[in-house]
Amino acid sequence: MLKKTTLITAAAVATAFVGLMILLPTPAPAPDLDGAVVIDNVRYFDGEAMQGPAAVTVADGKIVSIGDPGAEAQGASRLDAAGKTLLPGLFDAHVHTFATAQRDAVTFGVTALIDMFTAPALLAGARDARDSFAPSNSAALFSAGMLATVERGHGTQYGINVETLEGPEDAPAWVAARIEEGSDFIKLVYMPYATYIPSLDLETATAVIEAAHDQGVQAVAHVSSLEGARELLDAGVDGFVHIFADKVADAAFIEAAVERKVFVIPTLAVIAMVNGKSTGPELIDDPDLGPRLTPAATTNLRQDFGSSSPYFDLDKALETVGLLHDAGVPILAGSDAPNPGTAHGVSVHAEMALLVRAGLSTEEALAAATALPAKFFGADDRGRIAPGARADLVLVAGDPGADITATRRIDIVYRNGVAVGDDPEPTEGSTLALAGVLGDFEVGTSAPEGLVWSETSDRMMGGDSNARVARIERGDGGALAVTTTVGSGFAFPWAGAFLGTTSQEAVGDLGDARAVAFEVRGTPANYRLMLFVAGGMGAPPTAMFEVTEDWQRVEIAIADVAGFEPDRFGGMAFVTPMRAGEYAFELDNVTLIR
Amino acid sequence: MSRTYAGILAAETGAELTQSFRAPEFLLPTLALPVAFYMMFGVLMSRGGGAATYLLATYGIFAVMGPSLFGFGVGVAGERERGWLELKRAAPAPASTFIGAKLGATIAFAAMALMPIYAAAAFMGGVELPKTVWLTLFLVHLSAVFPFSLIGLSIGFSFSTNGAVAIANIVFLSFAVIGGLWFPATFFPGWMVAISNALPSFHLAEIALTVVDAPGDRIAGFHATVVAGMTLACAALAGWTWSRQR
Repeated sequence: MLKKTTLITAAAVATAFVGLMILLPTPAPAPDLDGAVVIDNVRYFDGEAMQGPAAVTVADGKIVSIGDPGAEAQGASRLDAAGKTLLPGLFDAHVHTFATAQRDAVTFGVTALIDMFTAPALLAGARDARDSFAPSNSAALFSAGMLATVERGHGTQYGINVETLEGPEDAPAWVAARIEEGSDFIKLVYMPYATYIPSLDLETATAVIEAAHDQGVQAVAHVSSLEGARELLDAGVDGFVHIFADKVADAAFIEAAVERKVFVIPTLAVIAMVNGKSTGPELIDDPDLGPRLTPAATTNLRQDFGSSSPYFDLDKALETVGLLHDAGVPILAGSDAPNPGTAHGVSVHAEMALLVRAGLSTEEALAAATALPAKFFGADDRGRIAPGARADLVLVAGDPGADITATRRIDIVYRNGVAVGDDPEPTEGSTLALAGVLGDFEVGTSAPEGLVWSETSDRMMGGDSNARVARIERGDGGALAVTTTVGSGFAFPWAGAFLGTTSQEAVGDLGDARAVAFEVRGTPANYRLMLFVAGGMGAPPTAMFEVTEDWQRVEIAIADVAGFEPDRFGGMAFVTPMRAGEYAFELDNVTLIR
Repeated sequence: MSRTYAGILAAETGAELTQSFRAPEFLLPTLALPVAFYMMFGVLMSRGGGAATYLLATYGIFAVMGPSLFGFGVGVAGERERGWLELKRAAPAPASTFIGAKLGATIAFAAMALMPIYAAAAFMGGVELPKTVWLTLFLVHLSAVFPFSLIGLSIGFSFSTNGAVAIANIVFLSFAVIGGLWFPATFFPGWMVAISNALPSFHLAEIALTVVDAPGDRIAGFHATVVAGMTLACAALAGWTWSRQR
């Protein structure tokens, strides 16, 4: 009996103990911080104010902690960043994305672009790309896609096919089509007071804004005059993507802007250029920024309109920005790159300095390029340095809180937690070393391993051109015959032959090739050679060549094809002029020469 | 019934358990008081910041102290007073089963007192620990049975029942408070800390706090050495008071 008591008690206690042990909660496993980075002793801008110095721990593309990195960060690599400042990856809140824009931007610490008009075809992969946490050396893209304008209005002159509006009744379907294409928001052009170009009327502009709101997206507007801006405020616009520079805003406008809670992206950098005060030369001469510029960007920064317009007075724009800011209107930094005098990424640094000149504090100017664009364009995990935020970051030497130009002393740019330049695209796939003959068409239309010849036309952009390629006999060997019909269904028509990689992931490396040489004859005209950059977007780097009825050898120096990157070859195309008609040409001995 | 040593030990332990189960004045305060205190200070009044975990470590020692001091101290004093000890010595059972049974029952009650505190910490205080830490903590807490039982035994051998109740209570409360089981010893003035350092409850709590990785610098090995030394001293004291019975 007594023994039984002992046994029962022992069994009961043991059972209870085992049961309790099974049920007792254990902490969630510490995150696997392999490849984590601790940026130690760093001053940081959290999106509103300078903080720190502290240790910012980054892993798996996110900011894991700020402060004591703790035991979790064992095995993380440690970077002593004393004296430096960590900024959220910068935004350029007004760009037009072409060619290498997204890569150029990252070079200058601009990890997100708010695009105010580009070819809708570019939007397809943009959302997946910006949501991904994979290492990348390309800026995230948020875009309006196509813009709302009228026939021959602003926006139609750039060679991108624009579906124009004729009246307010077009607005709902037009906005629905943009959302379908992947536009993140709607941009409209409203410049009814410009005498040189047609514009949407107020009724149609209002209908576009209302349709956008009805369909759950915001509507931002390009305006060029105080009057136009005032009218759109009443129409319910969400933001202005330029500040008008014809007049200084009056008190009534400022009051209305505050009341309507609009934001303003002044694009002072481009206004300065039109006013003959381009910031381009200063950026080229900057000891830190200059060396990072591509030749194409340098060329762009040197350009200007060559004359000063009375409707674009930088001082008036600065004064208006100062007044709006003082009244509490959010000001966002956007450069309007790649307009003349600006270039992707780099011009945000000039824009921030201009915002400080307009009266923003250095911290407010930094917020204008970080937390504010993130807030107004729904980039929820960007623009701030806080635990959980995406680790798109820029480490700069010095303190931009004391001197805004310190943002130009770029040390390291992190995209998704990986320093750009530290093998940013390990998932990119194979690299094809290319040299010598790319196509002699001796046997069939074969190309070197990993490459393939095919036809190309603007059908992929919704045009109606046609192309056909076939091998023909030429002397003892062969050549590639290209037969095309160029239509007028796309603003930038093309048709021709394309040499591309067989795998989407493969990137060609042209090594030390100096030029592309080939033999050609055909319908006489000026044809184009396009050299595609792998992963590039928009119009590819292009060179012109003349074709005659007689065979002739053409040599195009690679260095002359602005914007092309020989180690990131994504393909090449030999295409017709941009003029409707029938073109036939023959191509042979396409060769890379050293 | 077998007359083996194990059989005698099991029977003796059963007797101890039965006796205690029939004594709510022992059972209730021993089992319910620690978890009630822990609920109040560790869960309800705790404002987060790891207090639930910190106090789990110290209240665990507190919970083990009750059955050890009172079971041994007051129990032995009563048995001695009633002449039961004399009878036991004459009985054909080894003397060690007398102590062994008491120890077994005390460990059982200590476990019963600990488990509700662990449950309260885990399911109401939000304490999360790796399984190995839960287990290690439990073993550390349970190991407190040994020094406190020896102290209880010394009290039981030295005082009458009434005296033992008073002395055990004084020891119990002072070990709890000054040992830093109710409030962290770091709140104490210097002179009190000096007293804390002389108490086994303080050093046991420090070991438990090391196990749960509570804030502060501790050297578990130092505290374990001190506890081992104190346990030996208590054993010597218990042996001496026991020998005085003859």
